[in-house]
Amino acid sequence: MYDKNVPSRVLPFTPMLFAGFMMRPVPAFSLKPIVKHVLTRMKKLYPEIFSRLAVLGNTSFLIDPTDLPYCFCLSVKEGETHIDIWDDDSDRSGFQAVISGPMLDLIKLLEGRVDGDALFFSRTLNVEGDTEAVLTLRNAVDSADVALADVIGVPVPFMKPGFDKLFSKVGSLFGNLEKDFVTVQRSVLHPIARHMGEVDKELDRSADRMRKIDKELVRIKTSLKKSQQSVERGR
Amino acid sequence: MELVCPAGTPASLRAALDAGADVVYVGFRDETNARNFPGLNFSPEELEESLKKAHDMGRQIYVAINTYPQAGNLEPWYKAVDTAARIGVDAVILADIGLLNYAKRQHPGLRRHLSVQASASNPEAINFYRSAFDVQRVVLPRVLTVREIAELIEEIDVETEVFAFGGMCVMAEGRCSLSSYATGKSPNMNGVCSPASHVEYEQRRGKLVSKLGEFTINSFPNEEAAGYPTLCKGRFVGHTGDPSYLFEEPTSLNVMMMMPELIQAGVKALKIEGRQRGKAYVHQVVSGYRKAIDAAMKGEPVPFMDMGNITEGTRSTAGAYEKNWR
Repeated sequence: MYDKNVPSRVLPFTPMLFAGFMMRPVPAFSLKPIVKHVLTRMKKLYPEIFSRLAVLGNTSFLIDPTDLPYCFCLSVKEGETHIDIWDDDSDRSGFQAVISGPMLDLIKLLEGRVDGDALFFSRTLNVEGDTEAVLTLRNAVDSADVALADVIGVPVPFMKPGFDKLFSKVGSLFGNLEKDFVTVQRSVLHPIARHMGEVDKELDRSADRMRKIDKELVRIKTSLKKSQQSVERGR
Repeated sequence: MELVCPAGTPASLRAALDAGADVVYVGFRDETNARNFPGLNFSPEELEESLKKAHDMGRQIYVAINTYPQAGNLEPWYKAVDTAARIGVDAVILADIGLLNYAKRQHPGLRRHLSVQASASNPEAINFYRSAFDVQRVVLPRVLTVREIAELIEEIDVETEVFAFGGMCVMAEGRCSLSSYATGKSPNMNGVCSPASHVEYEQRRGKLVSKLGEFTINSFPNEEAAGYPTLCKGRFVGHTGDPSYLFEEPTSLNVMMMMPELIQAGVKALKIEGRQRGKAYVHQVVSGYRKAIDAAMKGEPVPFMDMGNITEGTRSTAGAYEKNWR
């Protein structure tokens, strides 16, 4: 159902976009162990998510972070959940649902720090395909208090406080960078947006003029027809 | 003034309690409640655990069993009432007169609230529910002005609960058949308005197109905020040729700034809609309303809190409460 030839997205201007450029030489298959480790930890820490997903039967989701050169394939098969990571240009056919949006927003959604409907209303998150499956996934994930720092975990317990601190620092760094990127984007786009606004208004005015011309044309045609009929009657 | 907040999952319930909810209302994981969405709602075990947590914090839990039982299949609704009573919830929110009667007969000690789905909006109707089924509270439909609410309260001997924030339902609640016309399923009988199984989103030439069953109900150009795929908020092409909203634009209800008037009117409880929303929504709205109620109860000005990021279509309205179109 997913047609990769249809340009359904504009790359978001985010810190992750630049991180993604740097990660481009790293092939997806080399990240597979990390992704699988994350899923294994999530199953252990948050079993409630997976019990709510079990109702899906056989469903596969394409989760597409639009600012990274990878995408995730999350599938539920006979009640078991699996995950895989692919390069962005892999074949995307055969998915029941596609969820796409900036990586940081997808992480916030996973951690329940942002509301999925709000991301959808603001057009930050895009959803295509089986809406019921997407809702089930969203509700299942939201049913647990996921913390990515706990999911990634540390190999030795005594390092946990330091790791949590580092994780929180990285999180706030990305949060600040995200705000700075929005500011830069607004500054760059403002003159263009203003110009586009003027163009839009001119187009609206032209459309109004065209409508008036159309009406006038109909009126002239009707009047011409009446004149012709009265001439014919006069003969 | 009691703050009644939604929760679709135990995590949302914890978020509501942490944010200052006095009461959290929930539903079972079936068609007996009006938010029967996949992956949402509570199992009896989850409810039992949540109730213990709420009671330990001195708070309450209400259970919505507010759809209409289907002819020949009453069992799930009876079972839901029995389970709620066994667990010991603080109240059940019911709409159907048969079910109200069942609850009164089988569990006389179980507090009964009249759901908004019963659409009781005049003193005669409410007093009937009070005398026949001994309802303790009525959840009023979102069709009355604050003045009408104040006048109504004068004529009834039942507590009133009004919607303060969330979905802006413009129809006669409990009687809307738009969704069933398009999908064969309705919020009144199946607990789903625009069931997700019938909703489809498509990206078409840079626009987000939403469809419900066979009907295309909206097309949002890029950058325009989107809304829920409900027919009452669909944008249709009329005889002028330009698509426009027929009933209501995508928007959310928000009456935070009218809090002093609602307190003055004698409203007992404010309800936040949104059991289908995430815990981030629950936390933000409940925190905001907690501050607003606390300020208003002390006679202080209600602080302005921007909720634009979580509203449908990123807009809000006070709707019928101020009815400025009349």
